[in-house]
Amino acid sequence: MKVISFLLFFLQSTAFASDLELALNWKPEPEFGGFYLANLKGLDAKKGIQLKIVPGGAGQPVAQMLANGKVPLGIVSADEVLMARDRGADLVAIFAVYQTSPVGLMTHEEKGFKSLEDFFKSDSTLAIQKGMPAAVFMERKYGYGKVKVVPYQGGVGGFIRDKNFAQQCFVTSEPLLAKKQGAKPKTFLVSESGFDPYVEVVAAKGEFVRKNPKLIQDLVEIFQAGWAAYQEDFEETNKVMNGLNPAMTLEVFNESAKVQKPFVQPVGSKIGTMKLERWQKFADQLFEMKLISKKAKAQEAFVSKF
Amino acid sequence: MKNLRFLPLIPLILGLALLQFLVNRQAIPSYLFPAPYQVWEVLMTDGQIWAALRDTSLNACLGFLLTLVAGACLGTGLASSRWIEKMFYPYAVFFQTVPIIAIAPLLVIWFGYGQPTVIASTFIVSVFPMIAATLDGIRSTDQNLLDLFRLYRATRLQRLLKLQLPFALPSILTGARIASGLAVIGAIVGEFVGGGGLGGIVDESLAQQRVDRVFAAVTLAAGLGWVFFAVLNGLSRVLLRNWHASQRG
Amino acid sequence: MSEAVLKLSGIQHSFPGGAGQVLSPLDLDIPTGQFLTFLGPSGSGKSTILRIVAGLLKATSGQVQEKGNLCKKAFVFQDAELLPWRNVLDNAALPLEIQGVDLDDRRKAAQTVLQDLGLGDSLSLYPSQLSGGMKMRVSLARALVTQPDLLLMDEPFAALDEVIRFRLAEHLREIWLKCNRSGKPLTVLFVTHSMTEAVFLSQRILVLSSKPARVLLDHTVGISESRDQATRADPAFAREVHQIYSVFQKAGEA
Repeated sequence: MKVISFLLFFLQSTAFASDLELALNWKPEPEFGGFYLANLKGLDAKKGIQLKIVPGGAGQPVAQMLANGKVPLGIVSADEVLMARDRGADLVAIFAVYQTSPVGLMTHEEKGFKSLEDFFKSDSTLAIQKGMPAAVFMERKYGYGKVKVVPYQGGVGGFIRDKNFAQQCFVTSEPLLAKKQGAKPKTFLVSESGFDPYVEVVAAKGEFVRKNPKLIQDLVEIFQAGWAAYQEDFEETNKVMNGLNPAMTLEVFNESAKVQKPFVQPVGSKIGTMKLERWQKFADQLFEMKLISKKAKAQEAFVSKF
Repeated sequence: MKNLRFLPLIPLILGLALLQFLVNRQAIPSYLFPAPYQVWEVLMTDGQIWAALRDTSLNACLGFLLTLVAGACLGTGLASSRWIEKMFYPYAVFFQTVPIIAIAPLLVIWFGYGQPTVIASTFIVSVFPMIAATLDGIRSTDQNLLDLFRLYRATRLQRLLKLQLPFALPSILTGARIASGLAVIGAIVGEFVGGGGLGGIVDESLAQQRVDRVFAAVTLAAGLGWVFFAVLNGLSRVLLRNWHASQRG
Repeated sequence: MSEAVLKLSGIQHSFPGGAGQVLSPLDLDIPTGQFLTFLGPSGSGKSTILRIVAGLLKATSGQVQEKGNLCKKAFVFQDAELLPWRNVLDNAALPLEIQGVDLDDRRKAAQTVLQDLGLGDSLSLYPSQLSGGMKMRVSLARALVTQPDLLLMDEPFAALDEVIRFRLAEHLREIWLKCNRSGKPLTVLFVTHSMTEAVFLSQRILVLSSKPARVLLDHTVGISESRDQATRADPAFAREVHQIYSVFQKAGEA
């Protein structure tokens, strides 16, 4: 029996030897829709690439896994790329899902906050991942004052239970869930206060990118095609993703895909491209916030010649 | 003979030197494993981390005190009759087997953010060894001595206070030593969900890929556990100094 | 001899769970102030008798009658069974402490008894600092501190070196005689498997068979009451020991 199972394992691993793993930093949700569609419709296979999408979860250290060579491709945020580079790990971003950051704070409408500034004058409880650059930025800009900062657990349970509760969110996701459970969420985008990084990028090791220019070119084209198609028609892909992540209803999947459309759609360029000014501004902000120890040359942190 | 107590320092120093050497030679990337010197620098310059140590120490102490008192009381209660033991012991084991990581988010719902959750987590993780040690200690009381107390018609309370609890003391102290290490772990887990302290620092530093800071916090947490252990060891020695000829002088 | 302090009628005992009968029916009158030894092979149920008399074990059948039901008892075990967290003085004072005697009074009483037993200089030592013989003296002091009417001793010297056994036996006799002369008689029930110890200590010896125990011989020791270390070299002493030995032989126990 042992021999047979070993042989099976061996065959399997050789059969998938050409698989290219893409590690997600969260469960399958519309924020990854274009990647799943490309895989489903065989857009990758057409270019002779077999993508294998690996879902993640809370606390998945994708940046470290990339740096350590455990996966070739992974979804991280631009600040993770810059911080990893600052610590000596050569990560490079090749594709950005969101042109505008959907990161925001979700509050209860009943509290009547008019702006983030307004919110930070309150005595609310704010669940946020401490140390996250957006959190550091807001703390520096507004000061926490009487706001009680508590650890962010994921989900919207705390928000539903407590009217005085606010939390970090992707405006494309948590507010929809909260609404479903009867709350009236009001969200504020962090980007509006001047902090707007590329929050969801595909990254790889610099060495891998430089050695395989053709492969990277192909990948970017696959992702662009996948996302363009997903923007047009997400329902079929959502059904498949819903099967992988039944915690969210199909209805919320579809709503979320609708809400995120403008965040994905760039003005005057192709889907997924990134601009140097934004990268550089963001890198300078990180340096100012002391999250990276030296000034970064942003042009080295991403490739976007496509 | 006296110098033998410094022997454990040798592997520590050698290990740190080797690690520093490997990181310097870039055999281990520093974003995966920080150089000892980096960690040292964080410890020397980061005031937040020391404030966090103070918070964690306080909460771990409070939780541990609760464990000592409640554990000894529960253990004594269980020892009071076979019936009670049979009825409730399986539920005491619950504390031992509960996957704290899994229920930690619930603690926040039950107790709220901050200190209460941290203390509750500390208590849940550390109380079982204390209950079991108290129970075992009382159960192992010498039968002849129990007979002696019966002969002089001692009350239950006299028997408990003058015989069974003192007799169980070595066992209770062993339980307390085990519980002390667990208390620090419980506090850190509680801080992951409840916020604050070294657990909060680890959470925050992971988000910033500050492996050096994570290690600095972990080092302090381990140090705290060690101090707990050492204090209890000292306490055992003082309390039991008359018990054994070997611990005299 | 004076009236019986203890009257055992038809005492017998079996442990539950197949260990079988350990004691055949036993009838016994024990006069006040008597030094009575139960002598028998190991596991013959001698200890069972003591525990039944002490009230620590309930006999399967039969009854124990005490004079006036107010008999003050003390028990000495084979091991000293001291509390390791208490010093010599407070170990000896323990029974009085349980009975609610004031700290000063009980310490004074314990000190007196300990001094009689030659431990006057060791009051503040802890059990871990004592030799086996000293521990047994503290244990004896703890038994005597309540001024009992009945002293039950379960092979108390069995674990000690022979020199110390001899010395302690002599000491025990002195204490017993002193009590009886002072008009506060002390009845001693002593269990041993040593024939010489039995003869040296006792007025009366009950020779028991192996399990289930029955009385092979109810013997009154014929040597003088004033005994000391020279007594053991007395031919009369040797004759007594031999007489008991032959009872064992006849019964097929030896």
